[in-house]
This record gives sequence, C-alpha cells and structure tokens, in this order.
Amino acid sequence: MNNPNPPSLPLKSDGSISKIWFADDSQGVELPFFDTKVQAGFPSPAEDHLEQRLDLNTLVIENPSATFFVRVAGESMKDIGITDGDILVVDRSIENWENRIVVAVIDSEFTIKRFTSRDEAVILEAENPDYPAIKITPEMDFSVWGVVSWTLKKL
Amino acid sequence: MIALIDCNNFFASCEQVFQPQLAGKPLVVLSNNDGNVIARSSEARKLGIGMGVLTGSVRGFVRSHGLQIRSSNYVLYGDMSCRVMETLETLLPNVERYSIDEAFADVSGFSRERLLELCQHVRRRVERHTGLQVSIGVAQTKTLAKAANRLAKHRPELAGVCIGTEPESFGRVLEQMETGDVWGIGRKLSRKLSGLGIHNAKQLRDADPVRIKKQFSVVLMRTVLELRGESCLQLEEPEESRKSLMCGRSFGKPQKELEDIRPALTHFVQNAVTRLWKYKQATSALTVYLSTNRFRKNIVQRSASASVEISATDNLILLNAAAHSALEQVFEPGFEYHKVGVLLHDLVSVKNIPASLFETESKFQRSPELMWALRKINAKFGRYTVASASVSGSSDWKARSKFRSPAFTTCWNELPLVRV
Repeated sequence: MNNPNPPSLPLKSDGSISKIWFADDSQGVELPFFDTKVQAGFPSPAEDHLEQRLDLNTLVIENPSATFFVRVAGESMKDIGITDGDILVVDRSIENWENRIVVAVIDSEFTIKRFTSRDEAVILEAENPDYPAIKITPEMDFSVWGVVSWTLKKL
Repeated sequence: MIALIDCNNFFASCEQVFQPQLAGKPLVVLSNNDGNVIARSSEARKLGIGMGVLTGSVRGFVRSHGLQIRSSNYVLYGDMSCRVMETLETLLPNVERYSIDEAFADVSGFSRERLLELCQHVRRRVERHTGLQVSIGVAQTKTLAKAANRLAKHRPELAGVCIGTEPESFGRVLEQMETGDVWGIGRKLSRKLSGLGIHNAKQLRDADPVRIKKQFSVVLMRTVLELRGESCLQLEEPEESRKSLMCGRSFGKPQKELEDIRPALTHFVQNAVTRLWKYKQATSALTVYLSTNRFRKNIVQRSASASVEISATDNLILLNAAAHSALEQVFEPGFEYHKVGVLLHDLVSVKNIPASLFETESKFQRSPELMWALRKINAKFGRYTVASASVSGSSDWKARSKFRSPAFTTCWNELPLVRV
C-alpha cells in the first residue's frame, strides 16, 4: 500500500481522530527462515537470530475477536474427551456447524453437543451412551452459540 | 458517505450473550454503586422504565414482571466493545471508535446497492462473531448518519440498516424527530430551542445558521449545517448525553516497545481527562486497547484490551496510573503496534459523587506544578511508580456492585459454566 501522506498524526485538539492513515507497508518484513538441516562442525547462521517462543494463542485462537472460553460441568461429552472442569475454546466465527461440537442454547440454557442435521431436522448428539440425543423441535428456542475448536484439560 | 455503527442496547446485550436466561427478559443495568438505571433491554423499556431512574424505583418490577437487575460490568463491556470494533476494522476502512458502543466509518465510493449489501454483511458478521446486534445508519454527515441510525433501530422493516444518500430525503424523518434526539443536542438546549418555536429537527435544519450562531453557539450552527448535508468534522457530543469518552489514534510509525507506547497513552489519558474536567465529570472504569495494523498483511497481528475499575474519580494521576496498569496487562512484546487508545466509562457528574472524595483531591489534581512534576518524573523514569502506589494503596476502590455478573471473557475463574 502506498502512502503519499507523511506519517504525521492527525490528532485534533479535542483528542479525536480526523483521519486514520494507513501505515506504510511497502517495505516487506523479512521473516527469519530456518533450515532444519544443520551442517555438523559448522556454526549455524541461525544462532545469530532469536526465534520467538511458541505462543499457544497462535495455535488455538484463529479469530481472537470471535473466540471465547467456557468451562465444562458434566460428562455427556466424555467419549470425545470433553470432561468435567475442561476449558473449551469456542470460535463463534465458524459457520459450518455440521458434525462439529457446538455450544448451543436450548430454551435459554447452554449445552454442548455434536450438531447434526438429517432431513432438515437438527439433532444434538451427546458423546456418552448414557445421554440421549436431543431432537430440536419447532417449539424449542434454539440457537448455535459457537463452535468448540479445542478442549484444554489439566492432567 | 459516513456510516454510524451502533450496538443495540449494548450493556444489556453484553449481559445476555453470556446469560441466555436473560434473553427476552426485562433487564436493567445499574450505574457505578448501583445508584440508578443506566441501560435497559428493549423489554425493560417497554415496561416504561426510564433512563437514569433510581434503582429503588424499579424494585417493584422485579416481583411483578420478573425484572432482572445487573450491576454494571465494565470489564465485560470494555472487552466486548473491543471485539465489535476489531470486527468492524476487518470489514470497513477508516473506522473511528467513537464511544464504547458506536463507531463511524468512511463508506464513500459505494453504490447504494453495494452499501446496503456491505452494511447487511457487517451486521451479520458482528452478530455472528460477538453475539451483539448493531444498527447502521449511512448519510452524508455524522449528524444525518445518527438520524439514519435512529431510524434503522426503530423501524423493524429496515432490518437494522438505513441508508440516506441524499440529504434532502431526510425531511420527513427530521420532522418526526425532536431536537433533543439530534446528535449533540441535550435536554437543556432542546428546551431553549422550543422557546424559539423550533420543536423538531426539520425546523432546526431550516433555521437561519447565522441567527443560530448568534443566539446559541458556533457548535449548534454546525449541527444545522450537518443536518443540511454539509460535513463539519469538529463535532463533539455535549456532556449531557455522553456516557463514555474515547481517546486514541494510530502511531506515526509502528511501535514495538512498551516504553515507546507509554507516552502516547499518557497523552490520550491527559486529553480524555481534560475533557472530563471541562464538563465536571468523573469516571469509574476505563479500558485500554492496543492493536497492530490490520491492513498490513505481512506482520503478525494482535489486538487486545484490558479494563480497570476504580471508584469514581476525575484525578488525572489515578486515571493515568490505572490506564498504564491496564496497558501493562495488554502489552506483549514481539508485535508492531499501530494504535493505542483509552476509553473512560460510566461518566457521572462530579457533583453526584460523595464530597469527601473530591474536596481533598480537587485542588491538587489540577495544579500545574503537580502536572509538571508528573511529566518530569515520567520523562526521567518512564514509569509511574509514584502514581501506581496510590492505586494499590487505597482500599475503597471497589465500588458497590451487588448484582455484578462474572467477568466472562477476561478472567479464567469466571468463565461461563456450561452444563453438558
């Protein structure tokens, strides 16, 4: 993006913004590239660089402004590895719910189930044989709140 | 063309996103210290509960209509606000965060059809990502965009979007709008206008700008011009209708270090607090946001916010220290930051705050010597050691908030609990 304007700050006396400039990104940022093969007996050029530590956020959060965490109480999803006390990463931006584990709201209550639809009927399946599937009927107040993308479990 | 994107019943909706049992129920949110009603769900409005009424006066509805009451939860609202704004920034150019629940965006260069499509897309996206509904008004000026937005909210058939590309087409809309509902016109001013025979927004639009300038102010004259479709950028909402105050902008060049971001934040806090003083207001919560430039595709993106609650104050030192502790919370090294800003919430008139707090502080907090000393210390140490001590030292920081919902999105111990 070319920015013909100088990077002056368009701040007005009352502190509000009159215009937001785009930053000049015409100069690309070179990201360090590491070759995994290291020549024995030869100092690796990579040693001069510092790679950033792995950040768990970059792994589990794809869309930060649409990602929320919830805590699980109960065992109806235990066969897929979601058990009491887990923290779930919920991504609201995922729009394809079919066969995904979702946080749903049924008649004003949260639940977590596998979303499936057959012949236009929505069925929420548990992942535990002790719990029956829930068939969504027109009388129910139902919505999908978000899609569970990860479960965080303390061992 | 300017779009005004405004969240519907923002505080009440934030509560409902994480407490589905509140959906469709009459719900009010209380001010700092649970004193009066500052937000209502549409169901609560229908019960006739007015804005600002005392908490005691709505108690009866709890039993008779199942009215739900929540204390204000600015940590939650601040985070949800940033999520909405971040979502808007991915979809629209030049988003100007205007208040906790409102943003302007420049949408010039689209055809009417494309605009409608774009606005509907923005609405759907924000609701999908955050659970919050927005209304969008588009017009030639900010004041008209606000009028269009109001229409988008009140007419269900518009599905939340109202586009008025021609200023002339606003005649009927403005006729049905009281002057007090025009952006920037408070109750006092509206009464004064009524005395002159100006009762609705159309009459105001058609008033003689020179006369308005003479009898009122240059500010009101700008409103008249804005209603006619002439953009006057120097608009500021008056204190009466203002519930929050936002101050922030992008840096001239990307900043990587915390210490390089601090001066900018201090500047914005000073700016915001000066505006607080101007209208003799105080605040009891603030949110600091920090973000990278979304339009630079080749850098690692990050956007974060943190909120701090304090007892109502207009003390610059306390507010600056609170803002910097919030900045310390949001700052992570390794990113090229582009923008920082501060949002002051829950503005109240200083005269409504217990005097004991202010009699002792008001004198020194405005003293130029102290301001000078503060800057000097900042310059020397780059930190706010002196001020931060006063933040942690006081014990009555916590406001009374009996009906506060958890910090669902910002505290590991307060996550929404889902029974499965």
